[in-house]
Amino acid sequence: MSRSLFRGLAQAGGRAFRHGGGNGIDTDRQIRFTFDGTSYVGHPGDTLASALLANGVRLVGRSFKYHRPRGLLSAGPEEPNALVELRQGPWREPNTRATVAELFDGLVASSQNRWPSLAVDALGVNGLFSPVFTAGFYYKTFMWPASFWEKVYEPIIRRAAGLGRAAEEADPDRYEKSNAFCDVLVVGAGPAGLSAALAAAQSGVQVILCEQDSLAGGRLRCDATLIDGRPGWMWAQDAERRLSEMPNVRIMTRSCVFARYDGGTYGVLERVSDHLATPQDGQPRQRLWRVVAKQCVVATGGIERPIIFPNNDRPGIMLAASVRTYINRFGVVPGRRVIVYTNNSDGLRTVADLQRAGARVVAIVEASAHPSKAAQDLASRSGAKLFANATIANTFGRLGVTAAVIRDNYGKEHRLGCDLIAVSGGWSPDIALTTHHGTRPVYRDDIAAFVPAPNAANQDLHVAGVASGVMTDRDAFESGLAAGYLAAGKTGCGDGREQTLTSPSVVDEAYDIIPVWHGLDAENMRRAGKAFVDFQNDVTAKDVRLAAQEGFQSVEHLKRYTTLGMATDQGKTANVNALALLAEITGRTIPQTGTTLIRPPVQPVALGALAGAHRGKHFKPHRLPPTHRWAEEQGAVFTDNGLWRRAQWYPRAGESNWLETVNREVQTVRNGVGFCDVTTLGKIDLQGPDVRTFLDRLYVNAWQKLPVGRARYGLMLREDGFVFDDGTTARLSENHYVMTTTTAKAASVMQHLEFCHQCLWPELDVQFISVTDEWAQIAVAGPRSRDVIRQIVDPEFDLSNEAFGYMAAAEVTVYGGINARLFRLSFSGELAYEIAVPARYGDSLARQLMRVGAPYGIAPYGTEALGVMRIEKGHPAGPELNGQTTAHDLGMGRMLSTKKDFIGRRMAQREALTDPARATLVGLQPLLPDAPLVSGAHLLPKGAEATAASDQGWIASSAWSPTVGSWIGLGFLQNGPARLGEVLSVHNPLAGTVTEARVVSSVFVDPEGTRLHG
Amino acid sequence: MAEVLLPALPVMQDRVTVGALTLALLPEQEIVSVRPFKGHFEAVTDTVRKALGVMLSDSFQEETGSGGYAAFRAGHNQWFCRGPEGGNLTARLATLCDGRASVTNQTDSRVRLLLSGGGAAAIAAKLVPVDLHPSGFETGRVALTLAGHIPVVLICREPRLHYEFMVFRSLAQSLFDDIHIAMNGGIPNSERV
Repeated sequence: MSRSLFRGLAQAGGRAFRHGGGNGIDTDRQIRFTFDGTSYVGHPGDTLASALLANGVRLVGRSFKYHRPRGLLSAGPEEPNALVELRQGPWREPNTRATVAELFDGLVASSQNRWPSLAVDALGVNGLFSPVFTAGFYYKTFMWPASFWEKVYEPIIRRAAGLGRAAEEADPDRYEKSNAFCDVLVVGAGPAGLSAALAAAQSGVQVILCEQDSLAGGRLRCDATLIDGRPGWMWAQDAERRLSEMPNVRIMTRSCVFARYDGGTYGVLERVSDHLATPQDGQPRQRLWRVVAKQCVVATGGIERPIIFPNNDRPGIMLAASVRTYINRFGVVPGRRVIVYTNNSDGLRTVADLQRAGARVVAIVEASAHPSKAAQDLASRSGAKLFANATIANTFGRLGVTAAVIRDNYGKEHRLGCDLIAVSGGWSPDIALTTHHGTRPVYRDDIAAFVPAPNAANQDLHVAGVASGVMTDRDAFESGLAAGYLAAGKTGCGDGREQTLTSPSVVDEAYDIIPVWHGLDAENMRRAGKAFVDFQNDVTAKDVRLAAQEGFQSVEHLKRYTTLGMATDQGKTANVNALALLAEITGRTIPQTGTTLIRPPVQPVALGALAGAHRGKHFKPHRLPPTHRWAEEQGAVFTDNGLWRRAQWYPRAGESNWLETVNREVQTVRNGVGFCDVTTLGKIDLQGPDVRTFLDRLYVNAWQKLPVGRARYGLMLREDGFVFDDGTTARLSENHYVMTTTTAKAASVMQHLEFCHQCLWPELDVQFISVTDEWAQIAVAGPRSRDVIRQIVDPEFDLSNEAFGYMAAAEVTVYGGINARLFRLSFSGELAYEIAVPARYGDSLARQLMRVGAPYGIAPYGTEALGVMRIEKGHPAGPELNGQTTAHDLGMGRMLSTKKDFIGRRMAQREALTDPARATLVGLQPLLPDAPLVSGAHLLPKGAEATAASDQGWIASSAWSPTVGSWIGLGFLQNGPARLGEVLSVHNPLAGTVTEARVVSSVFVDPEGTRLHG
Repeated sequence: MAEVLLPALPVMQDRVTVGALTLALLPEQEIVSVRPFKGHFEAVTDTVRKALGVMLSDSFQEETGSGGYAAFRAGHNQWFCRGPEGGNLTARLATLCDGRASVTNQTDSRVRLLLSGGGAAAIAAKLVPVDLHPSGFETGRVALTLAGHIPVVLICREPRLHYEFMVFRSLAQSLFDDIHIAMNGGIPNSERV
């Protein structure tokens, strides 16, 4: 048929190629859609592919590498050619297979990888250069110069060979995840899957039946099979209805089981709203399921293979079973003059269906040496010419097939006009899920296909139907029932009902296949080139031969060298043909050649589905301190510390930048009083008769003599002797302590304690629990802090310096009897307290502090001012406790007790860890106060060249100190304590700057500690 | 401003409704962690039984007693006892246990959210990797699990219809938002409600 005739028929209201009603469409209703800007009509139940075919559109895309015109090869998810863009704007989705895109009213679809148009593609010129675009082209061509790869070659290649365009805006649809559990998961709702689900359900177990298609039935909807004397799809419909009425069955359509993970866990992608213009009622676009099943029945059917012959990729050359699918399910006959080319008996079924749909079969080409009886009967009934032991030697037609050359048994060539070639190279069981645990499939000569290895069907996985290698409908039903009963029985959850289901009555036809993989002779294997093996990646028979010649004879190497089997279709129609060809070229058998394993996912899974609801501000949970809402009201700027959202600073009107704000907050604390929410520090409540011993073993310093009512600073090491964490622990009563950790290490310290208690010292009678969330803890710091705290704490508690001195701790009450805890701790170096109240009162406490502190000029301060003050005071924090520093490095070497054992003690004594020349904590102050010191800068001897050899340390923390009136830093310097007063060069390699700084004490403010003791 | 400390809600809203589904902040309740010291399990169990009318059961099934008291296993050698506000439960249990168990107040640590309505199980299933089928997760059943990325204690109040989430206070708003998002996503068509 000519192109003009196709175009003419296309204008016939979308019915030009409809031969009647298909079992999967609603012909009473019409829906409109566009493809490349042209409006067409389809029916509910159509895929984009079936609707395009119904409208006479055969050309739907351009190939990846050569930009060759391509049409529909298949009718299912294995489609390699018909990749299209769907929708527009932020909803635009590239690389969707037209064969699985369900039609909806208003669908906008367009072709991709072509310019300026599908019919006239400038990059079609690539085909002329095909002799150079051979296997390994990139590796051979773009080797030199190496620097050109990223800058020149890759951008050009991506532009020329890229597939569709991703949307440029964020996806506005929602995605989500969910969990489901069942006794038996059945994958696939064809005859075997439906039978398995019925059998398992009858056994009384919980069943989930997943079908990636929108309708159950599998091939029963695609073939004109009679089941119990009725069309097979009716049996499928009845079976689905029966299952849907059973309370222990959940049917999930549009749900692809894309992966089998450990422990009976399966990944399932549900396309909830892909078939709709917009998701309904807030439903997500897609939902990712984690299904946990005790047993699984894989009934995923099979995938038909093409046959390799020259120019086998033209639009109008389709898989034979797909032709039947379009006829029977969608009521579309994809051509008028048809050649059927098959190496198996199943392909011949296409002839009758085509005839019934009104097409003329002009030739039947059989690969078998002698014409089969079935083919002879069909040929005589249809008037088709029958060629046995024949091949298709070539095809013609620029944008769609118009003729084919058949080489007969005697080598004679016959040119026949046609607009459709239905090809069947036999069926490959869809065994993907059975290989996800690494089990290699085995090859069966009788069906010329790989089937699951016997040990793939292990204790929790059963394979039924075509996926297991049974190729007839009767066997599919029977194997499905058997697998369903077996799986249900193995769960041990059934109710012991009798197994009464039997297979329906079906007229079966045997499946015979001749293992003929291609129609190439030695000559055109070498020359004719464009006999495609992998349509999606434009890999030809010549590429496979070349790869083998160049030594890439392993299937794994063949795949990587030629790109065969990659991309969205993962070589579903290509892999077996390729390795059969490789086997022939290398003189091996197919089992000797082997096959690649299939990894998850079975079908493409959108990144949006993998992300689920975790996007934007919901990317991760946030922990909010008790004063968060109040801080928001104050206009605080927040920062993330791990999961915590903490106030970083509190800007006030008139302050022009953050530094001004932070300086003001620091000065408020140094001169008056400020407060800061420190709830985020980890708080662990420890109780029991052995807590002291427990602490002694955890911390480097001694805990046996800490009196009740006192707190002590403690340092923890890891087993390797490096510093793990620090904090204070207070003794509240005889056997009751509360430990604080850093914010960052709170969870790690808790895990550490659990490990030590459960595994190292289970004999210790200690219990501990996190109370981080129980208490809202606020640091109140500054010379007027006692005046403020005095108004919070109930008057019966003596807060004088004598009664409640530095490092005191007590359980008190506030505001007339509310339980609270008070600690005399200071991170800033000022007179300071930390007061803890039940978390519900944290917000109110902040408001009360503002009220009672107003006469003293109180102000909140954030983490930035907190950091400045701790640097001024020389307290180590995260940048200093970076996992690479020792107690010695931090100037705390003398804290390590020599009278007891503790975690890390032995390893901390290693020579390298106690070497006096190690980089040790020092203070740094630039000679010019305004010269910034930058964290991460390197410390070099004054004037030394910035080389690794002269590198003597680094700056860990730095800040502008409004108290000192200069930039200051904490750093680690080789032999640091002995170098006080020395001037160093501070090299910032990122900015390329060098600053001179003097080595000073790490305590910049109040080195005598009079303020905090005041 | 009054010179008192006032309690603040741990979440911005105390209730949201989507169709037939409701997510609500449950009233405060005293929650106390009880962990018997070595050799004192039976004595502590006996003490708690007499005081609250509940057993410290090894199963993850909440025991309920009279007066609104309940207890469930919350981990290795750990039980959460709970009761109505104002009962001074922590101090009472500490006194009664008399050093034979660590008794720690968790009242303010934990926030309770109740997800209710037809399809509640389907919504909860979007967040928790736990089989919520009534045959295995019946009334009073407790699971220590994750809701998305957030650690929770999940308690079945009524199969399919009512699920209580107990969450750290600092994470309550995030969990509230996550459940709300799951509610907005609707009930999967394949779900039997």
